[in-house]
Amino acid sequence: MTGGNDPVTEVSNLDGRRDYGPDQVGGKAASLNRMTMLGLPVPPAFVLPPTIWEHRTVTGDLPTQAWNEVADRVGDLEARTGRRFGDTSDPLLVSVRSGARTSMPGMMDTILNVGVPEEIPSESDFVRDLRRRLREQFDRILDTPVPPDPWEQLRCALLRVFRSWDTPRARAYRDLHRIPESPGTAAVVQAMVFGNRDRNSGTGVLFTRDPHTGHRDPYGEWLPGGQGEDVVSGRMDAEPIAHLATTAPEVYEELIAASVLLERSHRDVQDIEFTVESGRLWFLQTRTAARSPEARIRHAVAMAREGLITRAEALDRVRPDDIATFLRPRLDPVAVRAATRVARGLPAGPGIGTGTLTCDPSESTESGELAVLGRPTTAPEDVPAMSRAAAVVTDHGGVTSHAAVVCRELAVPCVVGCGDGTVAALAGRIVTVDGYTGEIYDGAVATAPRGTRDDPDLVALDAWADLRPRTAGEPRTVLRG
Amino acid sequence: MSTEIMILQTLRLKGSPDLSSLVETLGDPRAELDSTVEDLIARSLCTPTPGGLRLTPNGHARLADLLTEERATSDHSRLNECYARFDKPNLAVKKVITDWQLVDGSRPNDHSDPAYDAVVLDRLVRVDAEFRELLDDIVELVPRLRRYRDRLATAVRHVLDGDHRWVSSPLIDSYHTVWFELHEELITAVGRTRGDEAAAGRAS
Repeated sequence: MTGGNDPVTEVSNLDGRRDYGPDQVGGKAASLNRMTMLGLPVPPAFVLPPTIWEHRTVTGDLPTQAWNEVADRVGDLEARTGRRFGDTSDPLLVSVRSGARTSMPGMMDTILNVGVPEEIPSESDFVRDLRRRLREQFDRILDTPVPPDPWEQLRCALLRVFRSWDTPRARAYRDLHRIPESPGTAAVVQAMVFGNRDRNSGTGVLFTRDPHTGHRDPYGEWLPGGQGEDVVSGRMDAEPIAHLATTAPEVYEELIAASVLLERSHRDVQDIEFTVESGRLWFLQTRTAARSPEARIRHAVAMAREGLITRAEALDRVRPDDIATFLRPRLDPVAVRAATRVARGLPAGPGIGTGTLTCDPSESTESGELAVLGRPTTAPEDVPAMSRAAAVVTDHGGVTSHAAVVCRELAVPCVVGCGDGTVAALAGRIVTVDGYTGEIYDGAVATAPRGTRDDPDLVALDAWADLRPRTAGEPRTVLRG
Repeated sequence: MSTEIMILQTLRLKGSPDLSSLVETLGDPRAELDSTVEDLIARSLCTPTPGGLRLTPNGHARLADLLTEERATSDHSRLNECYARFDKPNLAVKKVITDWQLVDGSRPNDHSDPAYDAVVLDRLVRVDAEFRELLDDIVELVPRLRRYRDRLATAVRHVLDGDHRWVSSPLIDSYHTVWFELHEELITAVGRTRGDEAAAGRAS
């Protein structure tokens, strides 16, 4: 299933009747369409492909033909959902999202709950909550009040999403990541489902395998009664996915069955967004999961053993850096998940250190226990204290700063440039400093047993690398890579 | 022979040096330094500790007075001009030292590539040579800083002799150690503080 190649020029339903590739309709629409083809429940949707925005008018509007097609496709959504766009009671509401060929996280706009009707006195708390959310988005993203007419809301939202392709920051992002200007972005219009509808609703994310530890088990979060952006924004506290298994076992089972299907179809670990509305499961997105270096090693070997990918693919999916990271001391990924990050700076001296943060170098020299030395910036006279510190943290400075140079020599974990006032704010607290990532956590965070070269997964990768045909000069083993 | 301000300032910059590293830094004969230090201890300006000699609060106050006195008679506009000129070699030295420690700014240099190391050390020698003119101007304005000429030269000589600890080891008078102390001296001489300079991105 690679999708077609012919340009798509019309506003098109994503109903799985045709296979579309990311080049034609953007990554988001192609993924929704593919989930539908797999028979998964996906809220009905249609796409305005990038070609439509390429044919925009001189005033930056869509051609009349496109608006007519949008109206027709909204009609299709109405038929498939049994709701009417613009109705005053229980109307069809839609989300409007961008979807370029290559994902540009955080660069493009998304507008949810489009189509909230004009205010009426007898409306429910649910509709009132949706209107509040829509107002917030219009205020924040479009900087205008919400138009009372739902069709005008849809028009504003679509134009906004297309125009966000041309904002300076989106252009800068494309320059930086060498993303071509053509094809531009698509816009996806999808019927809303509501995780905040009732007690049997909620929203969550599921990783088909644990992206932190690399375990085979799925990992996820579940937010009862929440809407999608509540999870992403961290506005509400999520429950572990096991909570869903207990409260709605049949939904959980359906979710897990689908996750196996999606992983098999994409041949890689997936990060799946889903919503449950009144007990019914809906899939909103799937993409290849970001993961820790250890998880990249473990997942690649496991998937090759399961026959999901070839051994050569497994080798390609592990970077030399992953192995180096795996072999050095690191924090326990499960402990990190539960830990609170209190500061972040530039990683400047490798290693991990835990202790009470002190801003006074003489204090740390004279007490027996190792302390974390925090200084706005280090001075020559701080060197004796630095040599005795569990870690060093500074407010100012980069990787060439005195603290960074000295700590690398002394093999003391170091994080620099955490920002004005950071060390003063942390004085007296026990902190854990990760000199590999630049993160500083509250309290003592447990470390993981360091990976070893005789780890079965590394040994397997090494053996597979040995059997692979090589070009001259290529290192023989992955361990030496 | 070292003056009181030179010894007190060295004690401050070194934190708690022992006598032999004081001899190395100041370049005075041991016997001479012994008696000067005894005098400073008798006046409660410094005190011996298990880690080395340390300034007392009295010593810090005395040093601050001496530095204020020095600033009162120094040529501010020329010193400020020198400090502005220091920016460029300072950035260059810090970059060289970092490249010595890290390859591509991220991977620790395991010194397995002699060609890479040779290029970095060659840059260090060139930056040092170019800096000499400015250092002479600085010493003309603040004569007690003359020892930095010898100390930087000593570090370079050890490096060229193949002892690479003299590039950046913080526990000896390596090039980076001496450079950073000199930077601290300049900040003091122009009457600024390290905090201001760090916030301005110049001295961290």
